[in-house]
Amino acid sequence: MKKLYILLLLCIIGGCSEASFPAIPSDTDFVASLNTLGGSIDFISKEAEILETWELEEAYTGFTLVTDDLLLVYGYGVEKAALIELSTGKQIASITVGEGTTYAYVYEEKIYIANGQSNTVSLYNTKGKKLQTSSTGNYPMAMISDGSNIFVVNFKDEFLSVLTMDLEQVDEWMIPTSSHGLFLQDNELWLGGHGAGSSPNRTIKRINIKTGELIGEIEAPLMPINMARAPNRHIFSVSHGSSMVYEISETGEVLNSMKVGANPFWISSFGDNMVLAGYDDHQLYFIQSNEIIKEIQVGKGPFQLIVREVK
Amino acid sequence: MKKLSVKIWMLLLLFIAITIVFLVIFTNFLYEELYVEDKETSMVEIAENLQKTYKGGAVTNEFIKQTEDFNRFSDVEVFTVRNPRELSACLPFDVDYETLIGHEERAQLIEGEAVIKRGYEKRFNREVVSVIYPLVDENRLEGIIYVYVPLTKMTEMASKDVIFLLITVSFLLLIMAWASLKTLQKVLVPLDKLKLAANEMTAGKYETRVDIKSSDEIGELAKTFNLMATSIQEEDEKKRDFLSIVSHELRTPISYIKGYGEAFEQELVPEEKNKEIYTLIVQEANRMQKLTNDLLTLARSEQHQEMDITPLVLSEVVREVLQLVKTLADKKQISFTVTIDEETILRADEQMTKQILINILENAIHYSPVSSTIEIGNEMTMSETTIFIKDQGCGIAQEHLAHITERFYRVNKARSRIDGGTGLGLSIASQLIEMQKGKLVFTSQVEKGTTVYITLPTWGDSFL
Repeated sequence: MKKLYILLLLCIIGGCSEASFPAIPSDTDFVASLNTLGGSIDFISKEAEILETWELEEAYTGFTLVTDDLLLVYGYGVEKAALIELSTGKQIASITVGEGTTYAYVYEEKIYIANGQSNTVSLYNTKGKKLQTSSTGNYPMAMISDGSNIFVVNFKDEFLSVLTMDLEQVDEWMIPTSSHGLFLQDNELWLGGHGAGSSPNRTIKRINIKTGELIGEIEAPLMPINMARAPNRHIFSVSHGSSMVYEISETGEVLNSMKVGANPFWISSFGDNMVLAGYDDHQLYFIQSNEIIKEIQVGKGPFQLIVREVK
Repeated sequence: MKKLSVKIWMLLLLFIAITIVFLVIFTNFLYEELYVEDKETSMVEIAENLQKTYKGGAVTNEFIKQTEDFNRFSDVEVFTVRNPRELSACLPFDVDYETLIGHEERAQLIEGEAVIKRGYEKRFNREVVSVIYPLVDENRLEGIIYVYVPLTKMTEMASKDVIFLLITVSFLLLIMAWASLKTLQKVLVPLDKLKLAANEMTAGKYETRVDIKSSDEIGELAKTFNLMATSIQEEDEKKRDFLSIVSHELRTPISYIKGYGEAFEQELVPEEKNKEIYTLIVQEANRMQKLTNDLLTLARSEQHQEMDITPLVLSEVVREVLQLVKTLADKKQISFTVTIDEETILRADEQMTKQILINILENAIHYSPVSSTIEIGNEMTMSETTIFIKDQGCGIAQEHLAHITERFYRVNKARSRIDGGTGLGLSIASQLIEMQKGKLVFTSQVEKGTTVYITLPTWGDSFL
């Protein structure tokens, strides 16, 4: 009888406990890819070797690092975002965000979560407590902050919302629909996108961060969608429509371009490498000096990358 | 009530119509399938040929122009798409845009596989058959070759033929209806004839015959009908003959009696002749009585009166019968030689058997000369015995032998009245023998005599 109780207890504990994943040691540098088609996260070392793979049970569509040891994962169709401690692989908290999460952005341990169904942006602390909510335009998605304001791209709308860090409405700037991909360069906000209607977008918009005024455009066809700064301070942008990577100077001149991967959506700087995720060919590309130095097969549909460098 | 022919015709028409309609639908379906399939094949060919000209890298304007040029010479729509938006490249993003291909198709195309589909396409706002071939460089889907044909166009084209088909089918249906009607009529007209003939027969026209030559079931029926008609006609004639004979046979004694009666009435008969005439009147009355008795017996036997089958000692029966006919025989000094087996036991009705023997013996006595001998004997077989009665009379000619059991049949018609018989004796005997499952056979030689063989069943071992 006692044994049965223990068994029952174990079952209850087992059933109630949150899923746990293989731990990622705190001192490990990695680039992680969220593979949305296959439903997994691959952790990859600087040597382009897979350290760990997490098989996800929920249809997560995005992730971001809250702290070096805390990972937030969320999904458009998933009601709860999960906070997972990397060093233990355990989920330590979940945030009830409701369905419709499109993007999460972290600035100094403040978590901003955009919701494309309620058309809001909410602010959470690292414990998962909601502190503030603000309504936005249609389908808020990409977000970035310069420390004083947070800029929210309304994906299905024709304006960008400017909010304070406490989510108070500041301004609205006109932008094309289907804009995506934000980058801060000095006092400019660089904005990519897919393009409105059937015509694909070919440029990165340079917007004055104080006034919202369009300063200029950088040709980066087709569909520039993500940007990252390289160790040499150059900006690398990826255009998924033509699978092109552009190396752009800080003043906005295209220095180099190359065709890499198939339908890549994300580029990140990792050590001396620029790492690119090919969504259609399920590969990560390690690029140095306009050359692919390594390719690595990951789970199906690598959509997003995060980088942790602790050393 | 509808006629059988109409019912059968309607049924036939229904079957034919159902078959034709089914065939038309099936043919149409098959035709469309084949047509669409054929189109698909040619579309695949076009797409394949165009795909071969793709040399990798980004899809050039020249390539797009080339496919557009192709359009001019082809009856299918061909175009090349390189816009990643159309190719569902932005898929992970919830872009408000109806793409040309879905994500599953995109995945298939990236693998280098062609997509062939049928159905409604929102882009073209109609039902289409489309063949999509990928332009893949390494793992990149640089573009697609999209070939399509509106399904409506195809069905429209097919429908031209459908009209032709419908006309043909209607025509066919009419011909079939006409042909089946004619066939049915041909089959059923004899039935009508038969019905008419039967009606005629009912009305008493027994000479009616149907004229049907076919050798099928109806032909057989017609033949049987004709045979039946012949039988009925013969029976009818026999009946008439019988009646006329009976009336004739009765009329003669009646006219005698009437004549003598009138003579007495008018006192034309001399006193001394009275006795002779009374005798004649009694004699004629007796004849009438005998005739009516015989007719009654005959009628009863024809009505299959009940028999009382018992074991009969044959010798006993013969003795009793001989006793009865003795007076008659004695008049002509006829003697009997009896060789009846004493142990023969018949399985028969006593009265009937006696009647048979009396009738035959009376006949034998009638036709035997004075002072002759009649032999009576029997022979046993397994389960029956044959009694023979042999006289030394005038005999019967061969041509008459077959008819002597017919009613009122007389070998010598002139002698009939003098003979004093009714002409029914042998007929009655024959009928009674038949009723007892026996046989009656005659053999005869003219001027030498006649032998009558009466075969009757005997009582088997079970009785002993």
